[in-house]
Amino acid sequence: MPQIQMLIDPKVQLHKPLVEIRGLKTQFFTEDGVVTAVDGVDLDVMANRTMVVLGQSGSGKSIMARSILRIVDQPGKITEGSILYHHADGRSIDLAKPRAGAPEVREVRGKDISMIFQEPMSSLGPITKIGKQIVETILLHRNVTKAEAKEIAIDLLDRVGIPRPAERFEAFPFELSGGMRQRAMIAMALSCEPRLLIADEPSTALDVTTQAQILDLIAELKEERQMGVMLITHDMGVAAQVAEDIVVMYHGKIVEKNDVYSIFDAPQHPYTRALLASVPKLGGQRVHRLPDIHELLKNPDTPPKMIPAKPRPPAGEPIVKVRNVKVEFPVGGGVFSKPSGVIQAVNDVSFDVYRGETFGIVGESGSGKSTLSRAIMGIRPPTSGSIEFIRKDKPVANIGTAGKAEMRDIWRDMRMVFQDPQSSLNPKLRVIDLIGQCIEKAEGLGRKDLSERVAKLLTQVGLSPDYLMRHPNAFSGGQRQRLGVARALATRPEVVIADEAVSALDVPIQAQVLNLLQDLQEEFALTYIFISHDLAVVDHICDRVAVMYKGEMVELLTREELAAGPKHPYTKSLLSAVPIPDPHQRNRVRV
Amino acid sequence: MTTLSSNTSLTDPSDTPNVMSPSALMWRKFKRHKLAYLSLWLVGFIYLMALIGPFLAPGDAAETNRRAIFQPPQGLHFMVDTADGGREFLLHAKKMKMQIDRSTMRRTYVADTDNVIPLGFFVRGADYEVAGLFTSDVHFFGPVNPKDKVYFFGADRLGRDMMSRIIIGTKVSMSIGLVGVAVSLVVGVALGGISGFYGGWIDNLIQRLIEFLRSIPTIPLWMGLAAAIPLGWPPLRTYFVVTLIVSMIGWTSLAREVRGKFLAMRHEDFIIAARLDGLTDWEVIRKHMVPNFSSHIIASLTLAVPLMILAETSLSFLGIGLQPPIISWGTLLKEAQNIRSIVEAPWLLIAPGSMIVAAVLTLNFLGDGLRDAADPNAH
Repeated sequence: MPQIQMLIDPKVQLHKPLVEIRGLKTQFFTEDGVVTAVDGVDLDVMANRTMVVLGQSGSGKSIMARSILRIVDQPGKITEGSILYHHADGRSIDLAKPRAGAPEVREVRGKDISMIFQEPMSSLGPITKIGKQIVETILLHRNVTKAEAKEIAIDLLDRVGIPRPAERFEAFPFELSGGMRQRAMIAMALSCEPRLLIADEPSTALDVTTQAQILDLIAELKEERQMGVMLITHDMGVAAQVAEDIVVMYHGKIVEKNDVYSIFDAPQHPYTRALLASVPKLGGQRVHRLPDIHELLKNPDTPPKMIPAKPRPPAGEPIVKVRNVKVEFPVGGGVFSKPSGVIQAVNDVSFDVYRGETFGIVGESGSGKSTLSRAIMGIRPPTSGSIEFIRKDKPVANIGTAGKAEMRDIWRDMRMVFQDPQSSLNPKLRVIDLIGQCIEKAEGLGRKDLSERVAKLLTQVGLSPDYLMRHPNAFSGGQRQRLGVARALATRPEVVIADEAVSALDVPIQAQVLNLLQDLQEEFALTYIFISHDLAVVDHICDRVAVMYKGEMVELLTREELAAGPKHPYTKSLLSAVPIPDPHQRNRVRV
Repeated sequence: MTTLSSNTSLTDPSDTPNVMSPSALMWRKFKRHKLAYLSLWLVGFIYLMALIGPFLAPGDAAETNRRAIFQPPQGLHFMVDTADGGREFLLHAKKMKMQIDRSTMRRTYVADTDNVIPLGFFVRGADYEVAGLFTSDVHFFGPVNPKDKVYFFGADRLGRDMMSRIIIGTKVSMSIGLVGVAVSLVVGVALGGISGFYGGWIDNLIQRLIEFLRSIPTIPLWMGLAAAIPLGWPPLRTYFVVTLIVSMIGWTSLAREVRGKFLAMRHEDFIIAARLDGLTDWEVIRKHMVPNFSSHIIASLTLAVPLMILAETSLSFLGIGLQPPIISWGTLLKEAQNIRSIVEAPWLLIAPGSMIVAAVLTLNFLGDGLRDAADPNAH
């Protein structure tokens, strides 16, 4: 691999921080009042160190990073504090003082400090070739000719692991996969040889295997160029894998900062302890419930004992029988042309789900797991194959051949919890109608009985019954997902399909919802089909796991078999790519 | 080096944010749009004018006056000289005297400074009917003596008061917008909804029909249709047929908008969730889809009204829309069709013209503001 010549002497100023943040306060002036996103942060960012900023969404970690580059969106403003940046030539400048577009800020932004974002597609220009975008950045900040810039760009693409870089130089962003795009984004960020790279959730939108590659790449580049890396994430596993220093943020403040081993081995602050405790761990002893962050924060000195999970009751008779299911999507085709081909989203999948168990379906994006769940649900019936739903007191229903009226009846006994609590709740409806309309349709209850039923449901999912008349925008993300769970339970179903039901939630909230799902399963004798890309979550909650890869089910194994080690190479590589929230395991070999 | 901040209060994150309802949020956003907010008041005033026109008009819109042919606009004055040499407050207009230049046969008007017309509020004047129930002769503003005539916006070729005519014409011009939009709404939402919800061949058919209709040049189409209206028809029937003609094209853009909304919303999670709740297609549309885009529809309707008004105006201006004696802004403009009237009496063009511009602009601003308020992504 060609090495790019370093402009910075690695031996100079290693002990002096690149950026010194003192008393930084960033506030948003909205109509509802002033929101303090970053509240008095003191931080030193060192060269050649990877600092991970850890925190829930809304903890101010992104705004803090954006404040350094002065790219905070309107109506946000830095109101107090200083951000002292030390140039390589010894000059120092306070980035917080000049206006955001001032030349002295722009000199630093993109050249000395560059940033990569979560979603590469939205940060790359969609109609400009990758190579051209990189060349433009190089020409802007470095004194080279166009031909030289092109050479540098191709070298960079090669360095970040894009195969056939000279060809990809001419590619448009949409021609690349998500991982490749993120690599191109990193190449662009590195094009001016920055001294500090800020990465804001660089791997969150990617699959675990791709995520592992991107994180490795960032770590390698850091070593190679002796640059500082500030990585923002909410993922404890990622933090444990790549960090040297960890900063934990909560409500705009830094609650704890230390090196990675101290944080994970001996967390000091109650919030850090609570955060670490609520992560589901892959493998090992299965716990009955994940610790609840509220309880942890209330009694920080007496951590609750981990209760091992009760042995599951033996599997009952099958409740859902999936036989040779195929789902195909036509490709192309217009008014006058026939579809030119099909995509096999789900290819010949068969399994049984037993009454009372939690059946997991795991896979990366595009593996067909969501399509499969929608086929079982009858939202998009299978192209071929059969799905039988065997209910307690009703005849066996065959999804796919059932008519509209029969489907409506099936949907009372088989319910769904959606991934995104934002888009799955109609913003115009009140809680009573959101949760109650299925009861109303099924049982024709009057308004008064309905409000009693919904209030009871709200209590069961841990919300106040006073919220009946609220709109969904008056709830936080975790509460909205509770509403989604309440809606799924409203018609007293037998099967609940949870499609990535906890993926959009923060770790502590995720733990709460997982606990809730487990409690409700015991209370209502539910069968869950639990779809997720997160192996740790699946491992925590599921009894059996089906692993999907490119539309096919490659392996079906019990939790014990998963813990003992899967047989299929794909499952193995998936398992080994999951970042484990333990820094002592960071050097394990990936398959 | 462990750094700990122990003073961070660990607030309970289970507090629910107390947020306003979606409609209250939209209203707040709308109010921030100053121009649109002002336009809302102006549009309200224009429609008020349409409702209580005869009461607001200072005179009788149909009454001709041989002595006031092409009389220029009169000014409003506040102070008069009293007999004892002092000055006194009295709302009045100066009477104008017609003088005919015998050599050129041109009329000129000279203000008669001694002869004033006292003006007042809630004065008696020409009779008019209130909602077809009873007659009244009270006018909001006008000459105190019912025999006097004032022409704030000048007079036309028959000596009729332009101001009264414009105010009376508001009713037809503004209501044609509303009726036309109502027709477009029904047709547009029905066809657009079918197109977007069911898709497939029916969508194809409706979309091609829309493209066909939109590809026909509008003025010749309108002219052809309007020429088919028999001349002997009563004015009211003509009025309704003209509205229908105008909304022939109007529904197409609305149908496209509705279709787009349906297409985008059909695969939203909350629509799928509503289907899983056991709702029929019709219930899903009525309870979930329509409330979610009704604000957009209202905004696009507001933007469609001025187009209707302009369409009526152009039809009437060309002489194929509404016919006298119906008074609309379009028929008023028709009076200013020849160069002679524009040179001799420019107010015939300026007065109704500025009313049309004002109505169209305020409705556009209002529609813009509503659209921005309804769109959660707009800044």
